[in-house]
Amino acid sequence: MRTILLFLVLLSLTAFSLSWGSAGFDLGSWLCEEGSEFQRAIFFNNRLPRTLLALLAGSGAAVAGLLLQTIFRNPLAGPTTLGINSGASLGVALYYFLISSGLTALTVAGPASFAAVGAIVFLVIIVLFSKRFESVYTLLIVGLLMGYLAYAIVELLIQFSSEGGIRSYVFWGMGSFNGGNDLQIAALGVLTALAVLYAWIQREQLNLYLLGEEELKLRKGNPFQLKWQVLVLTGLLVGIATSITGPLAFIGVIAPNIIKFILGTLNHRKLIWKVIFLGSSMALAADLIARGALFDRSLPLNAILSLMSVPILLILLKKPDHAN
Amino acid sequence: MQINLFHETLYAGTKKLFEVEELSLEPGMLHVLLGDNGAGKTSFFKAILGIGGDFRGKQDERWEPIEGVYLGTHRPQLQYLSVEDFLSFGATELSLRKQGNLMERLNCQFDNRLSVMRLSDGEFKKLSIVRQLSFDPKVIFLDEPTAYLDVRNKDLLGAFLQEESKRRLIVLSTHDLHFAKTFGQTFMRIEGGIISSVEAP
Repeated sequence: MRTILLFLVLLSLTAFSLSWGSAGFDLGSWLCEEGSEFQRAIFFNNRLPRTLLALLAGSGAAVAGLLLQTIFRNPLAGPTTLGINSGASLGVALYYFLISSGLTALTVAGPASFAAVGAIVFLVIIVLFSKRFESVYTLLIVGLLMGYLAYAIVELLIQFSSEGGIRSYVFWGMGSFNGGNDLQIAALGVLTALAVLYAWIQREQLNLYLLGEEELKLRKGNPFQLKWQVLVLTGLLVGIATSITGPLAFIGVIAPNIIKFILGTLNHRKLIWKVIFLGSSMALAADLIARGALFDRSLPLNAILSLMSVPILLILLKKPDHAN
Repeated sequence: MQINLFHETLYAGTKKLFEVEELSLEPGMLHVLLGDNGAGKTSFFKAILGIGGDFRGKQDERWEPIEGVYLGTHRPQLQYLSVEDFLSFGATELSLRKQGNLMERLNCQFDNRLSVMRLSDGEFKKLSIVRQLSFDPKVIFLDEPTAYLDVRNKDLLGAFLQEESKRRLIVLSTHDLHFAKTFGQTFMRIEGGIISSVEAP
């Protein structure tokens, strides 16, 4: 029932996102009647890819957050809090720096590859400390430190980048679902589908992993393999998504926690679809606000996502159980 | 299922864990492993089951683990882990059906939606025993099952384990010598890396 309700919310937001825009034409009448060439161009070149990107990036961040929270057995693990977004940002900053420096031969792989490598490198560093990560505060502190490290290196790279490179990086960092070509969206679609499929197929193993690695071993599972599969998959997913949309703040942490809080369960079978629907809905809602649906002006996406998420994060931190 | 160890030495990597002269464990009796803190009781259990490391036997042969379950002292600190989650993760339909009866016998009935973090340590211990026994293992190692239990619940658990030991091989470790003497039927001691059969404490 709750899954259907969340799906209906997502469906409504998707329809609103496809039909609302500053160009001001109504999707319903446009679909019934013959639309003008201009309207067709706006729909297919702007609204459809933007909505699709928000859906994919939102669900990707949410499922990545859910998987990371399981692997670290920590409710506050996620692409933002672990500093994985910072690793991806560092990769993108390096990409723009290389472009500015004229080392274009090194950049043929594109910003997505740089972001993915950055995300995975940061994840690996975090995993080296992961034994200590069942404490929420240790995780947040290390994530914060990793963020500072990335920020410091990015600052240095910016000093040596061209004005164009800096501008591109700054706009990218604000986050937006307005970028991304067909190929990038398709790549993100494939990775998101893979992550969702993986989470669904491995749901029982993930449940057992939560109870301890020994539990999984006793039931013929392989915790080492499970951990690395999740880390590589989420690293790639977050890296690619971040390179297209910019670092999306907090969806990966918040969406799984809201669903866990409402349902009072950690059973992946009950969580996965709801978390995905909520993550996509959060991304779409934030994008609609960023596009001016609420305040009649464009706003930075990440500022809205942070304003939506940080109060919830603070409430979660306030709960004494999280202190372990 | 029996466990027979004869002049066996077990290694974790290159580190010698323990030596056994002669040890024969079989169902029908409640076996108790005694030893000081840090003597290696937990390592012994894990090594026998082949969890928590890469164990080797004498002449560097890979240790062939025994199939069974282990109930340790670790308690997951997960806020939204409900009683239902805890009991159902890894469970089959058959094991789920057995849980009701086991919970009744161990006097531990809880609301399924309750977070396991809300349970006391003793309540969680009993729930963990129910969970592991519902898998109907042939061999079960219980690491300090009496920890956190009050006297009444220790007696209940002791009688329960004696009854269960008729159907499966149960080995438990404990520091509670009174419990060991009252309910234990065979005894081992681990000291200085050597495991040997001993008289009742």
